[in-house]
Amino acid sequence: MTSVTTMGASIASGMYDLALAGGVEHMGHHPIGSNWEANPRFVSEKLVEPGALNMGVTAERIHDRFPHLTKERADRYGMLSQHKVQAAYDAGKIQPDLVPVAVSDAAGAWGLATEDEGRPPTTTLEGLANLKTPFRPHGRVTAGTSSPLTDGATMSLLAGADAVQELGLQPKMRMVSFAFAGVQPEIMGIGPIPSTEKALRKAGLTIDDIGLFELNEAFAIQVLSLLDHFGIADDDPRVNPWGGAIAVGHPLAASGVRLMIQLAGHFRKRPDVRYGLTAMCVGLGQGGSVIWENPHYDGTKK
Amino acid sequence: MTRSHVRDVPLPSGRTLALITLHNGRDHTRPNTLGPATLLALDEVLAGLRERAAAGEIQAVGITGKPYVLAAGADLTDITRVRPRNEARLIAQLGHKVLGGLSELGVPSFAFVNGLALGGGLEIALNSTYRTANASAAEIALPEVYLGLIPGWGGAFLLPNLIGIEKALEVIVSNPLRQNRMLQPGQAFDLGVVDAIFPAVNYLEDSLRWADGVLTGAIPVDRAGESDDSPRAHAWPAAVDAARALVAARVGDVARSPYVALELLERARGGTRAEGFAREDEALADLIVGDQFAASMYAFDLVQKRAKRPVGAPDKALAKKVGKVGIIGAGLMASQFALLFVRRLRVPVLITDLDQARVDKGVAYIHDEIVTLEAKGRVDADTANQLRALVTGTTDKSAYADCDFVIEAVFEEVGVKQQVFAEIEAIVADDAILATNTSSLSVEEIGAKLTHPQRLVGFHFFNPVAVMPLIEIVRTPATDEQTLSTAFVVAKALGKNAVLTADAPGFVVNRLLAKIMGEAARAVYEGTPLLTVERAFAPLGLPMTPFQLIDLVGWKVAAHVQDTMTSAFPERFYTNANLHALAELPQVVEKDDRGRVVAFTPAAEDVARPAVGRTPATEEEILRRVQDGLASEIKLMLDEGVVPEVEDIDLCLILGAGWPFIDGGASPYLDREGASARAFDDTFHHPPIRGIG
Repeated sequence: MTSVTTMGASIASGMYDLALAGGVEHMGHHPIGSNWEANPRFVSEKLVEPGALNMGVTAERIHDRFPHLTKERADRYGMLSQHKVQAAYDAGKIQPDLVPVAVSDAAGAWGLATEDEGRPPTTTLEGLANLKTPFRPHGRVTAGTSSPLTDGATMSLLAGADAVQELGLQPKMRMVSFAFAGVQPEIMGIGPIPSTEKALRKAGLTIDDIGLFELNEAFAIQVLSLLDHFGIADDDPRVNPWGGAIAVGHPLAASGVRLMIQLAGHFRKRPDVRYGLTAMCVGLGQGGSVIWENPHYDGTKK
Repeated sequence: MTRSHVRDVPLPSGRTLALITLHNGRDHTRPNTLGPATLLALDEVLAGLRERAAAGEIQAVGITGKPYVLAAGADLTDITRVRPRNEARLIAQLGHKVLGGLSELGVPSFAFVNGLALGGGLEIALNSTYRTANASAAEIALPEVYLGLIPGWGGAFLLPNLIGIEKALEVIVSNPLRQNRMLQPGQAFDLGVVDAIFPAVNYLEDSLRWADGVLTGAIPVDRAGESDDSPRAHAWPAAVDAARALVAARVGDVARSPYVALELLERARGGTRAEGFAREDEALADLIVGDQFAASMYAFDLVQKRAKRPVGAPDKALAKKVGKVGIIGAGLMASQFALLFVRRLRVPVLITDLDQARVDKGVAYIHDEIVTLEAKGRVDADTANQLRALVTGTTDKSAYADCDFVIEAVFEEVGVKQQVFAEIEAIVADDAILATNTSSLSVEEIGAKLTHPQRLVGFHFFNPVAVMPLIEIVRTPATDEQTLSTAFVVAKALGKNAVLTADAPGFVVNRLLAKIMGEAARAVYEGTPLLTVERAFAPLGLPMTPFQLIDLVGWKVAAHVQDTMTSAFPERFYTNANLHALAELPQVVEKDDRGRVVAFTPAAEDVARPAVGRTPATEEEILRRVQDGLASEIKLMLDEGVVPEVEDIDLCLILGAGWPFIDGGASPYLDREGASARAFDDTFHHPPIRGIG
């Protein structure tokens, strides 16, 4: 996401005409719970609590802060994410934006990855209820409400208005505004709430202007906290219509552009929607939000 | 062991391709090889896929390799262990059965040549219906003829029928005989060996998409070599005949494998695949059990292993760091040294000579050679500038003061060399290494007047310096470990293989070449016709006849070498004062357009006549004298400790004089010809290196 905002801003200031922005992440390099080469001062000078370095622990803190956002609501959200991704695949909505990648297994045998792997599309609430809570005894965050560790890579092409005109490009979305905001590291998952408010303010919009949401599901609770804050239902159809990271994973540097690719996919089919939001939380206490305008918007309905 | 893993791959059209990955579980430094266990397991995998194809579960089969490697061919250690001939034939038949199965699956097969594909590795691809190559793959080749074999898992039949006879002759016969030249992927594509080529970045993805296009019919596969039937009847045998003549000119008629390959290629013009494969079975079995293959494997092992870990080389940590090289002399040899040192070591290189004019000429020659390198694209403009700036010439020897390694290439006379080193030793640091390129003088004697003789080492190159891979490193009784270690490290940095020899006359290569040249001269002066002598040496299979060799070395040098060897060992070496008279002539022998010696010049006849006797020898007598002479000389060299083992002598002859693999250098040949037994009543190898046929 920051690659897009950095290059988008650079284009806006006239420094570039065109830019490629994207990212690649091998989550095998970020094993669970030990994903930070943390600066030792963070802990020795008590800049943060040790738990702030473990994302699952920060997710438990959101449950602490908002007791009404229960484990059951998070489980239900996680299950629906799995179902939505499978439905989108079945309808052939995701495949057009994928590039097959050759991959080898543990024995070295080559295969071809043609879709997001490792999803359990038949997830049920009963199955989720019995999962371990690895971040806290009798906690609420489980593998079923967290993004799995997957590898991924994404890429986008950004262009300034002049370049679009000159080259006859067909934009899929127009960047309206973006914003980042800092929050307490121990509860980094709520970061998208202030960053979204800020981005809306800069765009001169309100949450009611947003017709589609692509929110990164690092954890179910983290999305639920944003929806709750803005008074949106857990299962609002405007939110992550093709599911999200709980099903396909969150390869850190790749996820931002994946949200944007999917939002662009919805825009093409939804000329009734004018604005969309992509947002994600950032470890150690940030949120990032980008607001996009749909070039296919026909003004029939806001 | 290399295993065959299978995974199903969904193709865009909805078809399924079962993809076989060959993987031996090791990294790329240990390439996949194809032994009997691998073949049998692959056979089972293919049988399973045949059933799945029949059941409609898969619509294609692909086969590829682990990263950087498809397969490096048959497992040679397995092949050298076969005993009776029918076991050798079984290896050929098994390969045919299993790899041939790739064309009998009921669905098309696709070989994805992702990396190194040699011999049987490439034959996997040739047996498949279609092929793609990774543009960054390492070599692609059928090197069998280089090792005394033929491509016997379908290559000799399939390749000419795929790409046409002329190109197949190049790949199967000509390239292996050109120091085992291999194909880059782009060349393989241009020749039609593969149908498509893709960059490494998305090689497998692109290949799979291409395969899908072929399956749906969207991508036509056009093969020029398969279509032209009409000129076959005439052009095919003509091409083989032309190649046969070239092989004869290049390696003579002793080596079996090139001729067996030629015959297989000739007969691949007609008949069925099964008949072609059956001919390969018999041919491969014949060669595997033959003496030439046994000797070739011995030679291959020497150049692959022993050459890379020279016997007697001290710890390389002892070596002195070489930051500047001095070359004494600015003649052709010195200029070639300078070019080699500056290209490989990229350190300042200084040349000198008696006067400024000669120095300037030397520097100009080197600069011209650098221009040539740049024009050929071997170095870029910045590197060419760097190299030019690193080469300087001077008549002021004080500029040598900070050289770490000084090598002389001055006139081949002890007094001259002693004087050169005396002058240099007064200038350079006490621990600078001094090296002499003498080819036959005593290194110890050259260093006799040095204050620090422990820093002197023999460093003997072979002509042409840029091409021949050998350096004989000569240790005197005084040479210390640091000096020796530096010599080995420098040789390696120069891209050469070094062999340690004692300070004995002629070291290894020239001593034995002096035997060859001396026996040839002896026969001529006895009254044997020149061409009889030339023919007498043919069974040795040497890269050139004795008088071609003398003419290449130069008659003056040859006469000098014979004198040196004869003065050291008067009872065993031959020289004739008349050689010096011949050497004064502008031209001694006449050659045809292929470089073969056809006659003495009339002037040479006149000069030689008074010295020629009337007791000509027969070809058989000459050959036996050479064989026995070589055998006894090599035995003496081992007894004297010139090198530790006979393997080192063979290695020197292969790398320094181009002696053939099929002779294993010299000793396996001398053993199997009975020369060792006649000369010293034993053999060099126990048991002798023989085939089992």
